[in-house]
Amino acid sequence: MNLNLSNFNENTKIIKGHDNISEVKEELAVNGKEITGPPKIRIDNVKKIFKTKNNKTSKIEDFIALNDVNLDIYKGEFLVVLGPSGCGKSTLLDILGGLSPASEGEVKIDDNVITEPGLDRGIVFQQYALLPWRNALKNVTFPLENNKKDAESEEIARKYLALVGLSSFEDRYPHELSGGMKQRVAIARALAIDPEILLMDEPFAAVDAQTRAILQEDLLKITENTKKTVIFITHSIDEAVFLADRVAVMTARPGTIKEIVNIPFSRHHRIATDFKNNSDFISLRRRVWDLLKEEVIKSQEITEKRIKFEENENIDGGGI
Amino acid sequence: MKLESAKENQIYKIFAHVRSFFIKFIAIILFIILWEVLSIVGVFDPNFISSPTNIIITAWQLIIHGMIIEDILYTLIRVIIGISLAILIAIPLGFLLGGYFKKIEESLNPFFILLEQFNPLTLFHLLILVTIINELSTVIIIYWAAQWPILNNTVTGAKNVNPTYVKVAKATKLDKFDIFWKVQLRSSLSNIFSGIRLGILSGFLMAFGVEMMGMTTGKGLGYFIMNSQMNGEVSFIWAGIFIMTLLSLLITLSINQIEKYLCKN
Ligand SMILES: Nc1ncnc2c1ncn2[C@@H]1O[C@H](COP(=O)(O)OP(=O)(O)O)[C@@H](O)[C@H]1O
Ligand SMILES: [Mg+2]
Repeated sequence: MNLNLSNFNENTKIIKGHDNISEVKEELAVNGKEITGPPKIRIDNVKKIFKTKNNKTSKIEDFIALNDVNLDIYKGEFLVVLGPSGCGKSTLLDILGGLSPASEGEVKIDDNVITEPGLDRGIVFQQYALLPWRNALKNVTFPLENNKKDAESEEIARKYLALVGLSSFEDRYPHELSGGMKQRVAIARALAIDPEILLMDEPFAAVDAQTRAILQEDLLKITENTKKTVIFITHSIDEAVFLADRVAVMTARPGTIKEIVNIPFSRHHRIATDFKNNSDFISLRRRVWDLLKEEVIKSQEITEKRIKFEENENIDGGGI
Repeated sequence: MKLESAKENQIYKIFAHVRSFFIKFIAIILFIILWEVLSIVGVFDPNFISSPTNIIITAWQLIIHGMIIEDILYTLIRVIIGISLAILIAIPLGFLLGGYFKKIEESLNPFFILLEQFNPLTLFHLLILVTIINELSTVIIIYWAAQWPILNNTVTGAKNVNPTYVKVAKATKLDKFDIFWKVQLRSSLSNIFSGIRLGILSGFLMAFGVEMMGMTTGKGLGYFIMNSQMNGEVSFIWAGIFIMTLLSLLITLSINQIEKYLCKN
């Protein structure tokens, strides 16, 4: 399966704000994804303001973490949100998970506005977030216990531990598992409630590169087989381009969606061929990097400016 | 063939058990042996220091002749009530302060440190006047001393609950009650139990102090020890100290068992 390059350029057209559905349909068709119906998740003008206390003046100030985020995610899609650190990715995921409300705007799933967490969404958190006093099996049963009998919960948990390849580790406690294994348990826990949507916040950031590559492949297979809609957050370009059907690149804070890049290769192609060493991969990566670079620099400039500001103030203070 | 190896295995297991027991308690065993030897050789004057065998025999005699049972029960019950009160009050208070009202905790903390420094024994006489009942004031003093380590440790535990764990629970739609039991309380458990163990130590210390003051109804191990001292019964003093230590140890061990049981679930 070899796509020629002219075709490929056409398919990575840039779309801003809410997508034109028919265009996205065409794009995703190249990924081997068929879109039926309206977006599964619709993020509409979402803004998030944190009230923070200024250390110097003790005044409460508005801290805009997200501004005007618009994004559509289609059923069965693997959407990667890519952005520099501190741009509000986790904040966005918390809003999608119903763990914190948007200050303005709304998120709809199947036309219902999100107001609270739900069992239609499984979340894999940024840190492993396994409960250290529970073994692998009991960590996976955790979200099931309230609705199901113990035996039933354990049966389901075993099934998902097997799915992530950890059948023989069910008795192990988190501190007895490697980083990659912990992340597998966390994925099993998120899948255990059989959610339609999987929300993942930089799940592989803390594991070594080799383990990460294997985890990425396994995740693609699992999500393809279980037909989940996935929103996956990362700050790694390689990870984004390898995993995504589409990559949503975010700006520096206040975070908003800068551009959406289509990755016009099927998941099967990405796994079966040596995609990461392919010239297509490399040119896509370059393209995404060009988009991201500016934002990374911007997010660093913000910090530099602040440092200069503080220095000036110190000098003033000394003069008085 | 198979049976034999199983037997060997069993013997090896027992051996390993005995060995680990020795490694664990070797310091205590050596200490007691040294004590005994020095007593026999005559380095320790029996008018001041009883030998371990003497202490154990005396304690046993006192118990079977019923001369110390009542005092043991008095001390034990006072301490158990005092510590139970401390647990019942300090743990919920610790969670309120450390988990839900952090701002208030910040302001109250210095005040608590002040209260903690204050030694209730110094106010014992006043306390008796206020409560009229001796037993009640004894229990209150034990409670007072025991509550601080429990409160401090519970606050620390509640404050340090990893917020991501709470998020995990919220994401799976657990209600506040379940989040408290399954995450907040559970993850603070080891802190709380360290607090309880410290509380037991200070509880016994206070019980001893109050009973030594002789202001109680003249019962309890502290009173027994002080009385023996006045009568010059050196071996009784040592037997009393031995039993008191044993009681504290027993309560601590049962607390450890409870902790183990709770942590399994
Ligand atoms: N509860 C909060 N209160 C105040 N500021 C916050 C809070 N949560 C996050 N922030 C700030 O919002 C910005 C975005 O945070 P986050 O979403 O965690 O970024 P990312 O996940 O992209 O690295 C950061 O500057 C962070 O300091
Ligand atoms: Mg983050």
